[in-house]
Amino acid sequence: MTTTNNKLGLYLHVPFCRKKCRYCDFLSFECNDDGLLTEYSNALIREIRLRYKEWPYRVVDSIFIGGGTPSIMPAEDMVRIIDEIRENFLVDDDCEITIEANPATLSDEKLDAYISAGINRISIGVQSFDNTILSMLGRIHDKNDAFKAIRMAKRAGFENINIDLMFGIPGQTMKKWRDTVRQCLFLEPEHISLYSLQLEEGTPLYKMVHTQKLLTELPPETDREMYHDALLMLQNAGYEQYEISNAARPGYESRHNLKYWSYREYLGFGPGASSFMGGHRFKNCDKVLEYLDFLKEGLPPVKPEDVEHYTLRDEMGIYIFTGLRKTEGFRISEFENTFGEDFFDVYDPEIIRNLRGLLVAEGDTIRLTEKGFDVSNKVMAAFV
Amino acid sequence: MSDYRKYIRNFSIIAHIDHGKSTLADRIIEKTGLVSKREMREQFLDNMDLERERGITIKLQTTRLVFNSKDGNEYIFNLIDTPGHVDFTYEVSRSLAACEGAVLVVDATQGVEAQTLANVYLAMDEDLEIMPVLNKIDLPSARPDEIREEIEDVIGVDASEAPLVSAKEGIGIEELLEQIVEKIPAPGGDENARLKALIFDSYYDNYKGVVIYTRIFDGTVREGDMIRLMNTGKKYEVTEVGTYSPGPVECEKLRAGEVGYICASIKQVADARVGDTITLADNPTEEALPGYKKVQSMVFCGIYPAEGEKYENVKDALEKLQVNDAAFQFEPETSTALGYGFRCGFLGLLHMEIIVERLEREFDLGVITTSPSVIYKVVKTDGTVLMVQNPSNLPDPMEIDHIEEPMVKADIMVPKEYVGSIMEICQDRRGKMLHMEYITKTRVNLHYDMPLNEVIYDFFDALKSKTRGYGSLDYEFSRYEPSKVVKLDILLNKDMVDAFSMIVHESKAYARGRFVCEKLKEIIPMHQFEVPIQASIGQKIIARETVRAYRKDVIAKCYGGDISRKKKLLEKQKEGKKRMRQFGTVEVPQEAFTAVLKYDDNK
Repeated sequence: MTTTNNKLGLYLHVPFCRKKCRYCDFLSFECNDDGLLTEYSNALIREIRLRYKEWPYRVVDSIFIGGGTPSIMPAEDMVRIIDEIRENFLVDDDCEITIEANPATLSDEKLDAYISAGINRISIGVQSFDNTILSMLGRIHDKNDAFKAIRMAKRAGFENINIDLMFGIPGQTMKKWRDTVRQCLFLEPEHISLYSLQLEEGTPLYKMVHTQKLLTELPPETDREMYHDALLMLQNAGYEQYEISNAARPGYESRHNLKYWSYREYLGFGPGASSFMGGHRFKNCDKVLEYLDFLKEGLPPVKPEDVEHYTLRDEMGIYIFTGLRKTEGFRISEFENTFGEDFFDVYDPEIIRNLRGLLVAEGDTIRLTEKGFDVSNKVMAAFV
Repeated sequence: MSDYRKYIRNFSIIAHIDHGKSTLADRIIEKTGLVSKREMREQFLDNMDLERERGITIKLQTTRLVFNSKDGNEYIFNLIDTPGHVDFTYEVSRSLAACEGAVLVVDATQGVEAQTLANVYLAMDEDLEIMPVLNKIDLPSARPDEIREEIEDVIGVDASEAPLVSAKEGIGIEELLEQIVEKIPAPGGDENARLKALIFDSYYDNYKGVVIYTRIFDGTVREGDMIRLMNTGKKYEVTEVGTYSPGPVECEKLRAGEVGYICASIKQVADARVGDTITLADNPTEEALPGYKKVQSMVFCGIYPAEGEKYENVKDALEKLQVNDAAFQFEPETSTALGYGFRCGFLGLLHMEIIVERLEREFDLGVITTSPSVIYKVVKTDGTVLMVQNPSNLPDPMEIDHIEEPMVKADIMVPKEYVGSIMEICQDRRGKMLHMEYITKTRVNLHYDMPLNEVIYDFFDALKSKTRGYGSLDYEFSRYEPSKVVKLDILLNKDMVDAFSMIVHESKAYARGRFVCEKLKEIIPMHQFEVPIQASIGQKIIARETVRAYRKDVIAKCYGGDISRKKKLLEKQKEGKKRMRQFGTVEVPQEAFTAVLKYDDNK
């Protein structure tokens, strides 16, 4: 297997938040102890050194610091981490370096430190410009925090800002949602992510809907109306959708995230972070304390059971379902170059015919239609 | 009496399910030293995995044991096992006919149950000596004195000397064996008379053909004899005789009073029917043994290959099962919804479940079964009579004068606190109470006259559920009776799916129609269009549900860490789709066919 671009993407996970949001089932823990955060930074730094020895001389053209809430880290720790990456890996001059931020955790000082460390993209978790919805979701900020954060980021010199928005929230009306989108467009970010809320089992929000019946889930029809409506508003404002949940002004697509959908390599740091390197997929251990212990011992924080053993056929499925998330889909010729097999030897052309209206094959590319996005799981399941 | 017969004891063990019959048999085998403890599989006699798992005996096993009694003599025990379920009453009666006595196992914590009684009556019909035994004596909740009294009151046999045993712990087994010698009579008969032997079971062996289990009543049989099966009239040459202890051991001859096996190059078990009499072709006995009957299937259903399964494979498997099971019948049929398949006949619902499970396990086949049906007697306006067991074969309503349905006599035994709920579920199923009697202060026997089609639907599940498992049921066919039954059809997206059609009583049609529609609504996944589900009688729609069209099936986020999780999710979705069956434009999960038959506590 070969990948066409061998530049590497790095993902750094910060599994801490000031407070966990009600809908969240990601790997993150509430933490208000800067001491622990600094200890965690030290572990990340050790992992960076360790990983570099495993994968030396690799050129890096994207770094993504996600979470959790990376912006709760003390600024100097964040700077140390970025510096450590530069010390080890060969970081391209125009490397895209993104940090995720919660509006309530930013300050001018922090943002200045980010800029000086070379972070050139900031992704702000706004979710909504409606205070009732924000507090219902358990967010720690209100809409004014969001306005302020974006203004500060611009002032600090960020020229590539993403705003995360969420729809399909219990209690959200079409009007509220359109207002949120309008507010967002008014702030003119370079990039917008639109996420349909997924009620995950085990989250407080799930319980509020399914056990306590305090809230009612929106009907799927409304969710889809919100989605398509917002995409249209974004399109009219000069944004182009390039993935199921992502749109950007031309040239501002997230280089790092595109790697996930284009079968490129990435190396993950921090607890629970996943990697795809040299055709192998593995994941760091989930528990923070265990992770810290591994690194104190100078060992890679991966347990044997966290190495995936996928067949070539499994990987073909991954290539396709990740590729289909992009509006441009994937190229049959690239698939064949990657796997050395004829696409239609592996997949019966009948599969594509059966998905008429949801999937189109035009020349070398196969992609989902707009309707296909709504039921993309059904389409993708045909290829795994 | 010839000397050898004095030292033979032919007996069965009879019990209600779960009262420990198989475990007791194991202990007896172990005690007589036939199988060492190490070789001893749990419940030796239950050979099939399925039997062991369900804790019931389906197929008989017969074993010859040697017991050295305290009286200084060596005795031959022929332990003839009986199947333990209401579906197999006839087989039980034939096994019992091969014995002189029956060891009646009663659970010392539970007491007498419906099947205990049913089996005891069968044993009494065969004039057997009944020897009660109290099992599970090691349990703290054992009430031996009370249960002894119960046995005497209810069954009317002397239980004062009933051994107290624990098959599980191996307590009291020695005493039990001595009592068998003492109480069960030695067999009679004359080894020099003309051959008269009973077939009480048979199975198919790949090398020997059908192996007949037999009890010789008169005469002697040897290898090379020409035998005649009196009811089928067919003649065969005996190729081997022997006994089971527990594997086959060839012997020179089988004489009056003995139990063993005969091989005679018979191709199908259906040719050596249980209950038939074996005699010598050139020197036959005058009179066959009494009690032979040709077993009749009571319950029918369609068995179809599941998606991706080959018709031929299912056919081969059914043929193999039939070779070994004379009570199971099948013939090809077609369904517009399910394609080519088979109409199968069974003794009862359990028998049907067993066959279906064996297809899935032993042959690794995926099959779809349609609603079980009984045989209806359709009297047409021109006076002709049709026997119909497939709803699709019901003639046009205009041609029908009336329909008759099979009725059964059902005996239900329950602790008295459940009488109310049992009456309710019986009434709900068109049962008429004939009478009711208190067996003891706390246990009641209810006698009902009920339509068989209500019994096979979900009655047993309902009974178990309403009595917390304490209720027990026994039933037998009584007669045909005119009844207002109608054909209920199910339409998916306006197309009738014949595999869901069923014949139900008019008074139940609305409720059933509604129930099936609701169930299907739960089970049928959303499609890209709305799917109406309708129940109809003729042209009249009596219930309707709609599966909403789906609009959304998408994962919003898929970044590095989500890929493996997402892959699993998509694989699961794909697996689910494989189990779908396409009807026109509608996809129906295979479990829909069984789900619409399941008893629902809330209904």
